Amino acid sequence: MNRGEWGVRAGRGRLLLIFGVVLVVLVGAGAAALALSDPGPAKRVCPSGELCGEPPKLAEPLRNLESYSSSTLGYSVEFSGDRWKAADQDEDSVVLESKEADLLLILDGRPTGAAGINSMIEDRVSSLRKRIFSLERDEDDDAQVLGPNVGYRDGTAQSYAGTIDTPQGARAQLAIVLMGASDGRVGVLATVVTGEQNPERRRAVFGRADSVLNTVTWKDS
Amino acid sequence: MRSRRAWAAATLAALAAGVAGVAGGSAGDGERAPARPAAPAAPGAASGPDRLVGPTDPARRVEVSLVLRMRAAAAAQRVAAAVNDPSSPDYRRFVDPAEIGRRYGLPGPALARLRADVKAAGLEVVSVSPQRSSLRARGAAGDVARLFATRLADYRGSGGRLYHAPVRPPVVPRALAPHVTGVTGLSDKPVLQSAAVPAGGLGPAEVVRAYNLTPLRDQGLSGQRGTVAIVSFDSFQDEDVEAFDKRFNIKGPPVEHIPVAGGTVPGPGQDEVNLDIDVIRGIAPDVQILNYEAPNGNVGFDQVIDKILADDRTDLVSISWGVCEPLREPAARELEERSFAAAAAAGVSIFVASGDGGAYDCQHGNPRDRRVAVDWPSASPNVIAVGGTRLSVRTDGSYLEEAGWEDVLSLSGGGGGLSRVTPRPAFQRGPGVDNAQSNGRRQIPDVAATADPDSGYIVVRQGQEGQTGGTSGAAPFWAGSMVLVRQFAQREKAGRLGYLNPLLYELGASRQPFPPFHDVLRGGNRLHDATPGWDYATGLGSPDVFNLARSLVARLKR
Repeated sequence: MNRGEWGVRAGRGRLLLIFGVVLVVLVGAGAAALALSDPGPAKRVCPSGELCGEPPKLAEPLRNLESYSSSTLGYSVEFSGDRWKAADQDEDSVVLESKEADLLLILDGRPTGAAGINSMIEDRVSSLRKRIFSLERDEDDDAQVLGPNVGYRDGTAQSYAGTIDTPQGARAQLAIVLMGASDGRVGVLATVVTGEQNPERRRAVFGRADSVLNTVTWKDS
Repeated sequence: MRSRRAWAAATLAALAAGVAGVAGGSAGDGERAPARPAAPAAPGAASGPDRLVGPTDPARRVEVSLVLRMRAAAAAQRVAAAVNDPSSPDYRRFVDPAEIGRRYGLPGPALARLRADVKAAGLEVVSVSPQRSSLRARGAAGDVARLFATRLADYRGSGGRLYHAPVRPPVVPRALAPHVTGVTGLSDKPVLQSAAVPAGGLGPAEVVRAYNLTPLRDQGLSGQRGTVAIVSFDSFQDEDVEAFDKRFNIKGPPVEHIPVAGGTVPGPGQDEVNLDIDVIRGIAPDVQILNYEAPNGNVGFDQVIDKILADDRTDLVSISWGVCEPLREPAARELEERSFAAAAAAGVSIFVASGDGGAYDCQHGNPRDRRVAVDWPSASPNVIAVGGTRLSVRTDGSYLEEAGWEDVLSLSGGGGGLSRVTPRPAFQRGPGVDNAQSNGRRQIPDVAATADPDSGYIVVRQGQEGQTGGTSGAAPFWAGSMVLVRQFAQREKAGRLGYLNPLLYELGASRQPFPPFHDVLRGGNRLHDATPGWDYATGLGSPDVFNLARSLVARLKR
């Protein structure tokens, strides 16, 4: 099992820069993933509601899981190195990029109780507004997160939709979920971003994020 | 695919531009995304933009089920309860459905008159259930519609399939009313959903190891000379099972296709059938699997269960199909409940998937339907509802821990909660069962097993190996495990297992020398948390199968 921290360290300001760089990289990665996901004549790949790629078998992820641990806050998360690439980390945050889908997952930690999660969400929304045009709360019934939690700790979630004008003039959309929870001492906020708009496929893509978020553990828990 | 690729590329390019600082400001917090209108409900169906095609051809042959006025329907239900109540003098005195029919069903002379009346209306009687609780009839659509004062129309469903349904609720004619209380099955729209979720990947060896089936297998128990039934509203391709067998070196008897109501052919639900078969075959490779195959339309669970009871070839059944409880037509549910009660009275254990929408079962079929609801038929008190977990194992494959399955972003989780219609059975008691939300209704699930796609099952389907999760893997897991437990009990001369639910609760309520359950303490089902003792996310928990076998045998021998 590959555990422990990576050598690269970065400050919070740099993290946001990395966030942008990762999204740029996603352009290429997404195109490549889509090309790879194009079904052949006989192979059943990416049917409605399902995911592309070959998921790892249970015995394998236990060997192949990678992890991130916050050196200052003590929370940690596990993820499959086959499915995710850790684009960067600092002492209390990590940016994960899906290798299989148009999906980005950022985990931020902060010393706070449950009451501070909303503040974390507000701060994240403010930072996203600087980068994503026309960011709005998504109030559709099917966008609401029922039973929000991180690492099986009850929490709070908000859904957003961002509409961006491309250089070609076309509009492109993002679905964003901010979901956080605290153990009473440390709050962990997940920012989940996808360009997938088809509701069924979006749910399937979000399932990838679920798999990671369920592994979040707090120190001494 | 081409348009999606272009769209996605544009989206990601725009994203990149936005992050690089090109994007402008916000549209303002006061602006709201416009809400999309709710999809109109389809007749007799959960939801969906179904389209009226036109009147049904009056000459087309259609079938309908009549709910018979039993002489003592409540007493028939009480038989199932008494047979499974350790404090009853009738405990474990199993009763076959025909005996229930003779004692409590529609009396013979009345049944004869009803047959004649149905025939006089131009319909033919297809079958009568052994417990004399339902009558299936067939006739021209025009005659059927006339008899029940309705009209039939054809609709095209969102999946493109044509189906017929009554344009207004059917009415029991005065002449039949002394013997008939309701009518169902006039729509043949597929409403039953399988509870399967793709991804994950547990092979038979991992399942056997994690849930401690190894000691049973090491004793040479693999289901030899035993049977287990699967209820399927689809079929499967024999080649897929052969490929699974080859992959895992299984040499058991071929799975039997047993048609019900004309049977069916492999269709969109065949992956579910493969999952059920492969999970059982992985656990009990030598058991004879009986796959009861009915079309997914106007055939109810009652018809399939009645056939299983009439065939009398097994006392273990797995069901991985269901529908959100509030959407099940009451008349259909009543017929099905009668059949489940007959099964419980006969000592048959039916393991049913509790659904994959967590506490919001209707959302599994319609993401906008956010009602708190459970799945039918897992809410029946005469079946064993199987919920879902996320399983973790140690590097040697042995059990590490489980959490209640809840994937909140993808709207998934193990079904569980309170039924709206069925009462809580007397046997459902023990630590955690009486809680702040208890209201006298049935509480599900009863037990659980791995269902999260992250710890799902390896399956061969449509020629390909894949990984699938969902409570529809957990239900056959329990049925397959009980094949080995039954074999162990037979060898120990402990007698029949019977309807297992009362025994499971009895074991769960007291300390056992060999703890039979893993009490799940983490996770939940999107609403309810897993807690010590019984809970709405995982019930009594998942099994340590060898411990459960030893505990059951000890209890049966007392």
